Amino acid sequence: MKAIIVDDSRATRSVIRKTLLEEGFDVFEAGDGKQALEELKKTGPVDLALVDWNMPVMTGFELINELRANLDFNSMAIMMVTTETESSQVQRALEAGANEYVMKPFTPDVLREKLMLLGFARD
Amino acid sequence: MSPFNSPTSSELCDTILHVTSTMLDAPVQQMTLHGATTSAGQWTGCVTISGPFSGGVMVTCPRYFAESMARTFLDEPADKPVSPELAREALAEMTNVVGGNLKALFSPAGSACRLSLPTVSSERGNTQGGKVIFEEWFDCLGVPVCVTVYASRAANESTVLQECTS
Amino acid sequence: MAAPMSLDSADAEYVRGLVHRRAAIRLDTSQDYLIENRLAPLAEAQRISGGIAELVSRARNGDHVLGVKITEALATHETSFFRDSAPFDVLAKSVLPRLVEARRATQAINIWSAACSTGQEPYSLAMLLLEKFPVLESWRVRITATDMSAPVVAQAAEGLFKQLDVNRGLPASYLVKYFDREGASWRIKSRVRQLVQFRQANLMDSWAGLQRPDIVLLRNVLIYFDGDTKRAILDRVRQTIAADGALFLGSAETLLKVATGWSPQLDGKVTYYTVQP
Repeated sequence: MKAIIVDDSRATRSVIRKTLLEEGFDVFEAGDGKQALEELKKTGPVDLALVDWNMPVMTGFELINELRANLDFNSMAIMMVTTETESSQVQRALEAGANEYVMKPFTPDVLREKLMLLGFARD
Repeated sequence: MSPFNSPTSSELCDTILHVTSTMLDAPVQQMTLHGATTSAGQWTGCVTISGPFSGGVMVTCPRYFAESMARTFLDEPADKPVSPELAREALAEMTNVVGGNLKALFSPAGSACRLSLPTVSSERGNTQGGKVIFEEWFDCLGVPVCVTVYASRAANESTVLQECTS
Repeated sequence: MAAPMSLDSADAEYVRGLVHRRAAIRLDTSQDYLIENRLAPLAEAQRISGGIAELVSRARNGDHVLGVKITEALATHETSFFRDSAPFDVLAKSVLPRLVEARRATQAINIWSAACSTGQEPYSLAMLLLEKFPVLESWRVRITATDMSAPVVAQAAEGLFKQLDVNRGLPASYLVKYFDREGASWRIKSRVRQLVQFRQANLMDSWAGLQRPDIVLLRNVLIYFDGDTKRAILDRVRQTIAADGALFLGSAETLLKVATGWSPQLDGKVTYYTVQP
């Protein structure tokens, strides 16, 4: 299984990466939406994208719209991982094509349980 | 009627405690005795909020605490040196998550305020002429950390002040 | 001199193994402070002069009761929406469709969440029913949720959850559909809330007033009882549950060698139990 973490914070990428590696993912990283698109053009589609909302250059919301409009990538599972915690923002992300949504701050268990919801169960 | 919600001081405190203790994976407590943001070696992370509520959030802590947060997030041993850049990023992310969770308390039902990208400076935080509506100190693993929320002059100041000081 | 309030790594490893075996709770090394925080008051309450090191040492040397108390201290209120997820899939895909078909004449379904803690389990059931079984909207559906702790039941009935709670195990689509943000918390909507009746009740006391349940969830609670009490509780569930009903235990629990009269039903990775004819 392959996953890409898209977050401008190396600290957050590190925290997410640790859990994903434990769950058996190969992990790629990008610091903004544009970098993520460039990385995905090299790697091809991955199983899961974990996407922050507020990032420089291209936001996570814009990235979701790009991915869902692109036939190469529109079947990837997308999990928003963001400090946007208003109900209306969760709704917007789901409508744009996110499959799951994690509100920051989160614990490793929160991530694992959301991975299970998306069918990425370890057991 | 105010265009934004006016959270109480205890709602702001509870949210800050939740964010910091979860991110640091350690207990955090509100302090009764206050530290001083003017002492040397303090860094301040800032995010601004715009939309229905307009203002900002600042997180102030000693530089060594920003380094310690970076080690926690990056899963590095306690004695490993951390670059200033990584320490800044760690404080930036803490400020981003505190700020994002606090701005949601100001957002009216059905809409959302916008959050800027975080910045970190070694200067004292600047409220851009806004009015401080909340300032509390928190004991994070024995280190005093200050969280400040300010409302821009453009915001409906009287409502904010009335609600946040109760 | 104060008793030692920290654990060495071997003791911490033993405690992590213990709570995993008994309660299917996974603690990692970064949570050792949690172990210390929860066990220090236990050592004090048990008047163990050697602090948590002696507490754990006694459990390691075969003090079964202390082992249970350690598990309880670490397991208390450990819960999440759709905990373990797989049993809820089995309920949605096989058990509930079968029962809904079987109850077409009476148009009534009763579910008992027998250790409901802060409400995540019964509310998960209620959301599942609303989401997957719209036909039930005109039926008499009752989810009875009980817990031995009155304050915990009161908190569950309030239906107000912290952000960390709704972040855990709850599909985001359910969050926006079935919860309203209320300050820093999230409140379950009344259409979910009204499906659940909360009551304080101890499993060892009378179950008077409990409607014959079609489904019983008795998850991660039997570990707190000794063998005879477990058997007695399971015998009473067998006499109380509908003849074609289904009993779910926690994912690390089994009825084997504990009680008789039950047939295990394996569905994917999940085992649930029906009453032997």
